[in-house]
Amino acid sequence: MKHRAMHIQDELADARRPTRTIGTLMNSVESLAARVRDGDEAAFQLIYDRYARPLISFIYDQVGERALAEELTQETFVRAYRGIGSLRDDCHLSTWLFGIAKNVARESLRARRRGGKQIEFEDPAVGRVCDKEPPPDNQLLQEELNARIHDALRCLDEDKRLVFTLKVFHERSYEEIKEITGFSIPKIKIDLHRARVEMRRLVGSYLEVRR
Amino acid sequence: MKCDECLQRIEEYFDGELDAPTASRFSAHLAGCAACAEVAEELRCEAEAYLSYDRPVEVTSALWVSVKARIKNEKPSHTPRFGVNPFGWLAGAFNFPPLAPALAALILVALGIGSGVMLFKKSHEFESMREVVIDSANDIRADGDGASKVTATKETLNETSANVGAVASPEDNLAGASEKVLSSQRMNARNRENIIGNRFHAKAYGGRTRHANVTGRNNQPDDLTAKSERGLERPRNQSPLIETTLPDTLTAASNMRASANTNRDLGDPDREWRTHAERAQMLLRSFRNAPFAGGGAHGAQTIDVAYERRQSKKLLYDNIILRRDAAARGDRSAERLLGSLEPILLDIANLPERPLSGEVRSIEQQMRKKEIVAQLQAQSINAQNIFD
Repeated sequence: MKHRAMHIQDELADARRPTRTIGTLMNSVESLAARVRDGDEAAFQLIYDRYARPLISFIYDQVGERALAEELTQETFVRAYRGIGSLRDDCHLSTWLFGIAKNVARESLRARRRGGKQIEFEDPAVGRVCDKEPPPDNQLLQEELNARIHDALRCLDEDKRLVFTLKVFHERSYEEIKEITGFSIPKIKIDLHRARVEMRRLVGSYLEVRR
Repeated sequence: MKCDECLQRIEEYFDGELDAPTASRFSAHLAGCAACAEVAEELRCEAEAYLSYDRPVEVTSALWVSVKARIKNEKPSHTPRFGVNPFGWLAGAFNFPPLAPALAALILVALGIGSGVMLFKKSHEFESMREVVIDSANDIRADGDGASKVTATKETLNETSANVGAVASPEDNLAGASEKVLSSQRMNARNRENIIGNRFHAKAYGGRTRHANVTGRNNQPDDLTAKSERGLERPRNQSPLIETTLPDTLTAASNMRASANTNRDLGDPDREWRTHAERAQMLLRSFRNAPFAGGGAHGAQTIDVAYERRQSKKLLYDNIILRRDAAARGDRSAERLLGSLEPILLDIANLPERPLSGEVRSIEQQMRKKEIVAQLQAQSINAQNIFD
């Protein structure tokens, strides 16, 4: 059981790490940041290749809208490029990028709230079925689970959603979450626990039937 | 380590946030405690399911092109800016001891003035809103069944309240007033449905021929028809609940499923819907009458629901598709009914093969509370009337 638990943790950690591209593996994060500061656009593209996927997923989880997520990802990278000089520790490039993404997403959500508009979420059914083959029942259930997770994330308040997505989807440590969000560790623990309980309540039965 | 301590910090352990000695104590405890190990296993399964979450987002080449276009004329900064944390400079000022108290006082005064101005503005807006609401409520009272008026008034109010932002109570009052009108209409509709439902009940139990005609399966061999009448067995080559008229992307899924079947209902969502309602109804009746299976672990009564579990899982998939279809068609009542049926189907599907009678009873209570069987019955008969 002990070995299994440790093995599972390792496996999960590997699975959650974003895929690395060959280009970024050959360039350390520190040197990339330094090169970008010297105006090397190719280095910035390597950073983009490395982090675009996790950042767009993270932003989508916060705002729940595909087109907006793309727009905000673009804004995140533009701000990152402009502000790369403010990156104090080049080793923390990823945390820093997530911090910018968090600010961009929050600003957008607040702007919408100030405008009195409800966020219009996309129809979860749209674009989900496009194969010619009949979808097996478990695929259908997976689609439903996706829709449920999407809706359940919308039910969490902003702080809990932020902490939950960073921990569960992006496997950030509490320290990294603290750095990204500015929350204290006890708050992170409490928010994460409550978010897990809430998510379990909202999608738990789908998780069980999927097993 | 005790279970209490373990359960209190099990999420931290699972998140890999414990120091090495504590983590090894946890591992040792989990190796010997089945209850805690089960909680850890649940966390693992949850994490796995969350990792399978597939978002409809892609990193397109167009995205990089737009980023590139925007940074083309930009110069990356060499010096720290306030881009990431616009209030970083403020935090810095607070760190300077002589300035901190004065700065804090200044901020408090500014906040006080700001909130005073806001309150003053709000009170004026509130007064004007109140007048609108009172007028609207009078209109509703004057027009007893004025659902359209209610809707129109609500829309006006929604528009206005969107501008005002924080006028919850008057809106709630109006919503309450209009809800009363609507709920009385709903009550009437429900009574009508109950009457129809009872009539259907009498017919359904009076003779099977009628039921066989309703389901349109009287051309099948007798044994299959009998099973279908129970609504619990779907013959291999008979139509599932999917049809060819489902809109948009759902159509694809429906067509795929439907094409695998030779003898199917042709593109009629009502018929599909009715068939599903009948099957669900029969399943729930069967579940209510599930036989006792003998004594459980501590002498408690268990119930044999293996068959209902299987069927419930099958119906669940159809339910999901039909609910999405109803949502796409804008059929709110069907969507609501299918939405309230789904948790019950899920609960049944998630039961163990031989659950304790208490577990079954709690689902039955849910069914009773939602009056789900009666609603399904009414739905089948409504669809039948349209069909006739």
